[in-house]
Amino acid sequence: MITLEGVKKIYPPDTTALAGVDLHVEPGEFVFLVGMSGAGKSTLVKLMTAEERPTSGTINIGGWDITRIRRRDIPLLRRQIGVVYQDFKLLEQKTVQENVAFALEVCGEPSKTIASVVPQVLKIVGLEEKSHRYPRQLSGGEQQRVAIARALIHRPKFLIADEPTGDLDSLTAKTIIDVLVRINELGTTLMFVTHNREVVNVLKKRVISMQHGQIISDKAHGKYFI
Amino acid sequence: MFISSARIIKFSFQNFWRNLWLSTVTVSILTLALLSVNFFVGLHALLEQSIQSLEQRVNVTVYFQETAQDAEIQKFVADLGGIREVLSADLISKDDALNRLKERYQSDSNIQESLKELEENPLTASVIVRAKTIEGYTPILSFIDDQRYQPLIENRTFQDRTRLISRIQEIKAQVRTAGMGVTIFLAIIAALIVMNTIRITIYTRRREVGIMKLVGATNWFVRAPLIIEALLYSVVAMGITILLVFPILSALQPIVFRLFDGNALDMLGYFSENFIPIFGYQFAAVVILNVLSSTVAIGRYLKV
Repeated sequence: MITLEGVKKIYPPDTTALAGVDLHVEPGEFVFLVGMSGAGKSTLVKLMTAEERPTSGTINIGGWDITRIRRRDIPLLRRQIGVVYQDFKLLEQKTVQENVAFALEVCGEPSKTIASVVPQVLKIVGLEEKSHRYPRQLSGGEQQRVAIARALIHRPKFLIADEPTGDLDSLTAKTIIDVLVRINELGTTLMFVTHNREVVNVLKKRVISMQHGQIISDKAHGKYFI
Repeated sequence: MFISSARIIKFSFQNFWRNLWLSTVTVSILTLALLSVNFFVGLHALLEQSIQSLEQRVNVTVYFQETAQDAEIQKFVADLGGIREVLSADLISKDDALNRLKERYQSDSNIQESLKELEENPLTASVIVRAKTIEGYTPILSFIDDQRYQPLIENRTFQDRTRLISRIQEIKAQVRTAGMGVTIFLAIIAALIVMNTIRITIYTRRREVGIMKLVGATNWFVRAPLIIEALLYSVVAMGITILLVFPILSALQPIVFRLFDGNALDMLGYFSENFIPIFGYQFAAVVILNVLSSTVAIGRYLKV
């Protein structure tokens, strides 16, 4: 599903964010990517979503080598990967329903399809009653669920959750994690980027640990030990 | 393609409405700029009409000798009419002249009594000549002052307002130049303000645009609604300007008439008759300005 080979990212003049990362994730896997701040986790996410380009190495997602992706193909890539961010990244001037629908609207999906799919996805994340509210009218946990709904709406095979519980209290965080686990159980490959020790240690999934831009550990049922 | 276009238009209207404060500020600035332009259009038209009115009052009156024969007078008038610069040459016979005098002083009994006692008509035939332009009087006067016509002519007058008209023409030219300069200056200021407003709008929406791109929107899907919004600002501002201009003109018209002793241009009529050219050009200019400003700002600040 996802293969990174010898991926390096150096910011001029000489800041090495990634110092040669080799990584393979199978379809349907749930993978934690852990490390302290500055380990290179976010840089890796940016490379996988083509926000930035690697200095060297290759990145292959679902059979597509995105290393030298053309600018005009970047929107197509992003429609195939679902991403959930720590700060939710919702469109403030759109309602819950419009935020989720937007992900389909950019693909040119017909209005009828959108009208039938969006309520279903909102039901999955438990927000069908709040579809006409704006993000400012929702709690942090609810906003994150909207972000998850938007990430799922076009049924991506790969979902990246970049510190999705970073801005949430522990109870709300648990709700979000439960949703993500459920999504993974339905077949979506999930990469969960975090530095939350408790989450990692409770779920006992594959744990890839990073430090100084390198992978220092990759355990099938790992623990957060950094 | 059609679905995306319809969505882009929908997003534009949505963004205009949901960022109402920003939209109001932008539209207000545009409206003020357009009102200033219309003010100068009106002022210019008023001055033009005043000049024309004064020009029409200028004429040359040629009084013929008592002994001048009708045939000679007719030939003179015909030759005069052949001059390119002549607008009109109205012949007034001796009898017409007397009748006009009686009419003018019909309320003055002394003059009426005096006229009754006259055995003969003391007045002579005359011709009133008007030129197409002020400059046209020079060749006309040269013709009249020609030696061959002097036996025929007793006197000629030139109701001379040329000095005043020259002065007004100078003022008109200066106002036109100043008006053009001020209009261009205003246009530049308006353009800079609009660009700055658009820049702030787009800068405010950088986060939103970034999110849209992360979700998979193409550059066109991001850029087009912003450009259409700029178009919407133009349409709304133009509409408000038109709605304001006519009531303002109605309110000012009586004042302008008093200032010009009833000889002022009918501003409402002028703006109504020239509605399409006046507001059409303004609309085109403001649309081009807004769309260009948006395009430049989007490219610069959003890297889209």
